[in-house]
Amino acid sequence: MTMRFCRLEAKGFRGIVALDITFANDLVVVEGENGSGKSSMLQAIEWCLFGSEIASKSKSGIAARVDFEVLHRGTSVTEVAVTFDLGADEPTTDETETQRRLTLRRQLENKTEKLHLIEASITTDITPTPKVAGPLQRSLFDEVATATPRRRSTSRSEDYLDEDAVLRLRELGFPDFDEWRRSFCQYQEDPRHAILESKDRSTLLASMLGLDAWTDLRARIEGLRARRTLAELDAIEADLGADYERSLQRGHDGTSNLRARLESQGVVLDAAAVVLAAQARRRLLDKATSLCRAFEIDPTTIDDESPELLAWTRSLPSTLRAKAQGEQATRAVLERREALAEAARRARKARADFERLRATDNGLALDATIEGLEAKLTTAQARAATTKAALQREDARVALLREARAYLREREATEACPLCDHAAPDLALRIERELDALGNVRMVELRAAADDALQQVARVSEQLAAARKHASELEALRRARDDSRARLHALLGTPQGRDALDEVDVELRRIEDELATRRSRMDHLEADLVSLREEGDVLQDLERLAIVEAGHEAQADPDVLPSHAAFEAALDRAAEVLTDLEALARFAREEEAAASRDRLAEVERDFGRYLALVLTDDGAARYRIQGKGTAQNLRYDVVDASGKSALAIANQASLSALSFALLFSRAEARSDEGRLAAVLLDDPCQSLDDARARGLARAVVELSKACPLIVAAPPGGFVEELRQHGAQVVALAPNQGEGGVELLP
Amino acid sequence: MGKPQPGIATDALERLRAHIRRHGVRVEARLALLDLLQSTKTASSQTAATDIEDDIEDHVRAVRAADEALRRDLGLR
Repeated sequence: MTMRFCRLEAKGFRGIVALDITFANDLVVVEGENGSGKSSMLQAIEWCLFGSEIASKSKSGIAARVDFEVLHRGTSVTEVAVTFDLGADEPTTDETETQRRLTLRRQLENKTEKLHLIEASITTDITPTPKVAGPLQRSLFDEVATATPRRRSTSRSEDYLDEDAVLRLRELGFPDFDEWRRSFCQYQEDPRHAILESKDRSTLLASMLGLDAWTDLRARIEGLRARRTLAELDAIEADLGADYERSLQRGHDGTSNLRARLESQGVVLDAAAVVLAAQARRRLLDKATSLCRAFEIDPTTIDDESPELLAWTRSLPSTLRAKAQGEQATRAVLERREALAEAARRARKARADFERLRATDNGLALDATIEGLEAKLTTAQARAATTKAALQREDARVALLREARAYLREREATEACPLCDHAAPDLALRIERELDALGNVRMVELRAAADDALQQVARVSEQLAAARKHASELEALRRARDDSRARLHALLGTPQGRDALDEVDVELRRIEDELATRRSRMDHLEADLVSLREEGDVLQDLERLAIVEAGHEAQADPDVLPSHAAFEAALDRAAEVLTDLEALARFAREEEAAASRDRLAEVERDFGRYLALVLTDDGAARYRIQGKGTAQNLRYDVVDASGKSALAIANQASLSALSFALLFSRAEARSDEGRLAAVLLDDPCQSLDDARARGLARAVVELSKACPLIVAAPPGGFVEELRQHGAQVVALAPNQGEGGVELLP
Repeated sequence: MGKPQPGIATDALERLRAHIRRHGVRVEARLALLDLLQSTKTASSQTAATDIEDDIEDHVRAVRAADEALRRDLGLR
């Protein structure tokens, strides 16, 4: 894309009152004596492009003047308009091309600048006709305007103001002020000053090499404010880490008292407070359950993991105390003991009575005795009956005898016995004897025998009755003994047949033991409750510590925190950006270095060509451009054949020639690359003798084949040389004072 | 967006695109950077640079916010 100057209109700018120049050639020479306004013309173009930016950045040119005064004295408005023809873009499609004509107009009024850009574009169907290769002097814009009617064109015009205008210019590839000064113009001896400063020289040379884009990109990336901000993230992470370490230390100090207290209670504490708490829970539950059992309280269904365990054990002492005070637990046992003891006493007495009574018959069989006695009684009764019967018979006989005797006594003398022939007296006598015998012996015997028999019966009866009574009593005692044993068995719950008294002794001893145990438990209840309380305290402390430890654990292992993951992720993402930026900066640096290698020989060739044209002798061969340093820090210099910096010892003419050669080779390279290129030279022949001035003229003509130039110079061989090569010469009248700059006809 | 400036060789741009493709587009800054690369020294490059700055500022803000959250969780605040 070409960048041609078509027209310059200036009003009230420095020495210019009003000026309107049409540029019809790519090579324009503004010819004039000193003070005729040559420089003002070139500066007007620069001011139109950059306005007051020149003042803030430039160290020379207009701004070198004390007050950066652009206003023409006597006017209140300054206005400069420059028209450019940008030629054709690269075709956006295969069939059309767009050509642009720009008119940039800058005004300064009441210290206020205004910028107005008018962009006229013509898009043309280029397919049917071959591309027009018009002469350099003629604008492609005009070519298009007069093209064959078969080519269809559409035109468009757009206006941009102030900031928008600046942005649009950048979009179209117009240079910024720095690039303008480096690659588009050379005002008098400025570049010589620039290349004498080694830093500026390197920058200038890099720019000349076409590396400014890469250099600029690298500088932009490396200079990103955010890039530095990203680097600060390391500090954030470091601060966080330090604060975290301090907090861990504080946390440790904070629990040390609690640790000491627990350790004094025999709780050896380590980091596993949670485990210890679990153990304490089990211990507490076991103790509480055991106490419940001891006092016959149903243990609760709370398990050792229940959160209510501690609260339950805290309420347990009052329950236990109430239970203990009510003696509910021992009353039944006591009653049982009393019952058992009483039953045992009765059983023992029954047994003793029974045994004692049984011992009175010497252990003989009472039944046999009774049976013997009964037999004996029967015998005695039989004998008594017999003796009684005999006695009764004898009594009857006696009575009969007495009756017979009486009878006989009445009839004693007289009569004989009626029954027998015995004489009555005999009979009576015989009876009398009989009675005597009976009465004296027989009856006594009989009566004695009867008495004896009766006594025997009475005695045996008495014995029998006693034996029977004894047997009855024995039976009663046996029953009493058996009943008491049965009762004991019932109380003991043991089967019949075993010795209940032995069992009861065992049971009573067990009860005594149990009562003793209970008494002991009662005695120990308070101690147990204190112990329970302490276990609870330990658990409470442990659980508090477990919570604290859990907090510490979380602190000790921030990886478990979602926010830590979020922080790491955010940090990683930011680090990725930084890594990308570093990589891309490295990429830019490497590209810069690669481009430098690629471009160096090429530019050096052009540089040498232009240098030879200006210097006209073989001195040009002494100089070349050298790149130094690494990709991270590329530097450039102009060196002589020995490889040492040549500029420090070069003469003024050589310095000028070098600076022009650099500028021209750069402009040609820009043009070759298809970028906007143009060169403005203000009085370039200073320090050059006539031969070198003509050499410069040839170099200018050579460059004009690649890009447009506007050269301001006083009349002389330089101008003549250019004129001979077909340059458009714009001649300015000598200084006219207040009349301002004027063109010569 | 302005046209690509020929000041940076087309093949270099292609290499950068390949580089970005190879590593995946992880951050918007890369796209902005591509714009910056394509339009160095133009107005849109200023926009691109601002985009990068904004993008990175977002990341830094995110890190700072995450830092605050983590500090709260760790009881450092």
